[in-house]
Amino acid sequence: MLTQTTQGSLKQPTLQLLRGLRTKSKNSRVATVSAATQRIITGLSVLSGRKKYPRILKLSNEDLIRHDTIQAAWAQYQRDIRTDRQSVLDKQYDSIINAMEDLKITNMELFKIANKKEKGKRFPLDARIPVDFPPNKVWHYEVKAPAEKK
Amino acid sequence: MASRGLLTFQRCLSTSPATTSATSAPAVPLSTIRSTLLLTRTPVVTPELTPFETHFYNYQSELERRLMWTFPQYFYYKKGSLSERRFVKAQKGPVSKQPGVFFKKGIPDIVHNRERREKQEVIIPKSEEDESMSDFNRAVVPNSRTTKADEDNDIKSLERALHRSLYLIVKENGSWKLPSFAVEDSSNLHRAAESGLRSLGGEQINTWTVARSPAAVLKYQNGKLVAPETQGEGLQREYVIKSRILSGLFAPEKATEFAWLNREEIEQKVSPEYFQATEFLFSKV
Amino acid sequence: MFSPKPTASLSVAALRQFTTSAVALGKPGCNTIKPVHHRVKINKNKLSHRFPELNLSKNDIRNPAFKPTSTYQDRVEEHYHNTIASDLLLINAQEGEFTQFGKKRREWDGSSPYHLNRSLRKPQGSEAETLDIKPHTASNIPKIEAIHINCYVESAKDNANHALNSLVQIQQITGVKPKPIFAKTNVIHWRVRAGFQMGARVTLKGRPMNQFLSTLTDIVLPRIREYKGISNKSGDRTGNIQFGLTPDDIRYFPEIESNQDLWPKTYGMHFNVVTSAQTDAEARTLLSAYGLPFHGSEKGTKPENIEY
Repeated sequence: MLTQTTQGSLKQPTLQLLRGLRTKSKNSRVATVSAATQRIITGLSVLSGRKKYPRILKLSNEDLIRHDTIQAAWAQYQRDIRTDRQSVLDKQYDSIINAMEDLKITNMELFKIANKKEKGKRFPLDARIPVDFPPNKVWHYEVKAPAEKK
Repeated sequence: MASRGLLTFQRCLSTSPATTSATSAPAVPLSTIRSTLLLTRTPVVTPELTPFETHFYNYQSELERRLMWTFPQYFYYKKGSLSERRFVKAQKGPVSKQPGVFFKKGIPDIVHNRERREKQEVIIPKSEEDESMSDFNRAVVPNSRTTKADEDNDIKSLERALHRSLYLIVKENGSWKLPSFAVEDSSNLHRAAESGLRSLGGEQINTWTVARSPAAVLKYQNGKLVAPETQGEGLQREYVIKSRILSGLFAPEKATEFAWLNREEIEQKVSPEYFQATEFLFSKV
Repeated sequence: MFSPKPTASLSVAALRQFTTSAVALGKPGCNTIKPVHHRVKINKNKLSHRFPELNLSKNDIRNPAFKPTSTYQDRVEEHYHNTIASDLLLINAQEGEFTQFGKKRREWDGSSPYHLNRSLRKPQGSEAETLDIKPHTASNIPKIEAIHINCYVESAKDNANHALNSLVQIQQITGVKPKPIFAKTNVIHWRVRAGFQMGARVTLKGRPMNQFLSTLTDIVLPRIREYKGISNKSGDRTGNIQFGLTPDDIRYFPEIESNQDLWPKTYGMHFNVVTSAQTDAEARTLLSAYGLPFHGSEKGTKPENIEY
């Protein structure tokens, strides 16, 4: 065999080709995954970060200081907004309680109705959460049902 | 219109169980109590961003994109399908590493067709628009956040200043204030306010009373605003009931002047004392 | 030169008295000192000096796990603060409120010697303790805190692929990486064994939660045919509301709907909306402000008296 290959230069590549060919069993081992299983594997690979991670972020000292300054400014901004909101709510609460106490002295009947906890209170479904851009019809001028049931 | 409103008002009263006890002597005559309506048009679009917010959100989202995992294109586009081919064609592929080539911006580091050192730009292939496309497929063209009412500065329109809360104020005896109504026949503050609104501005309005309890009390002595804690004789009281307008419009038959204004505009219109007494009710957004 | 004596006398002073100290000191392996069992597990990764960045907080940009959170304007959150919060304050605030104490566990009367050291009696008229209801002020306005999504897939006991698929489905809908859930015990009637992977769960907070809420109320729920709303009877008495969606309802999520061929099978799921409301009724009022519909009779209220 060895002598054959060393002597006959034409035969050698054919032998190597035969040896290099994937056998059928090896081939089938790769391809035996069914379509359903393949779908699961694909799905799970979505959840996994393998081969999807970007390079780790490396900031220079200047960049790090810049980033921290931005974050600190944002945190302070949010803190200001929070305290501002809370102070407004506190004022509103004091005002509600003051009005109710005053109503109690002024007119007991009005007070009783006003101070009664409403059961099954719901926000209207027509009230929408604001969106980035207005709808085609900004305001509905026609009233569907008369709002008499109050 | 006004008489119809009164009828509705009386009908409401007849079903109200508390009317029978109206004879019990109240501490203060009902004629001195009025129900004031704080009618709000809540914002339709999101608040305007400050420059700081815009820049911060931009910075954060760029950071997020830089740190994002590679888009798993193989999950959404089936291998060998037409949609996959169109998607791949739309992408601007990264520069790949070549032996013996000098790369000015550093050696490319590519995994799964993504340059790992940078954010990944995923470009969704656009389909050619034609007339046959339905509304569902057509590209969304956002409406303008400023409306015609903003351009005309129409303060009577509900379509103005969509990003702000608007409040209804009316001109009474030469001064601007929140609309207020008598509670004389009623035993119910919120109903007095709602029916008063309809008798003034017509029935074509759909509102939602936030609560039966008043949000504030305004007190007048000899026609002048006094502190809400004041007690004593000869006080006129206005209890503020909060409500939201959902649809319809406020269209008074009489020549009542009215306006839908935001907080800053109200500050310009009403008297300083009145604004000081009510400012916490008006949203800053 | 080996001289055990001086070293031993030195280390007597130096060595602490551990359970294993005796052996180290050349004494018989028996001692009277009780062994110390660490109650707090020590994460030895944190002690390593190799990757100091990993010990930084997750907010720190130097940590490899850093992920920015405030990447866009949160319209739902802003709407809550600008409009809903003050309305809820007005709805809930009452004059003359005081703390209503909940049902608590009771002492035994001591009539029997066996009452000593016995655990407390259960509350009157209730199996479990109930929470106190504090006055409604400006500092305890109800707010949605989190949404727990739980997806238990029954068919996963026969085919584990279903449990894996449910993970991907939750990720697609919420954009947050879910955790798998496993059967805790053997349930013979259900043919479930402990350790089977049975589905997925995730807790949403902050921006992903608000994004999910608006998708639910703007896109999914309006398109479900004959959807009546969340039951008014739902709730766990402490201000958390539960509801569910069927596998068919899940198909209306835009992420699923636009990739129909990827989803031959979808999985229903349960939602638990955790709020800081003190009672379920207040929690329902809060959720209705986000556009979630309700139906049925509420306790103490006729359905026709509920104003929508």
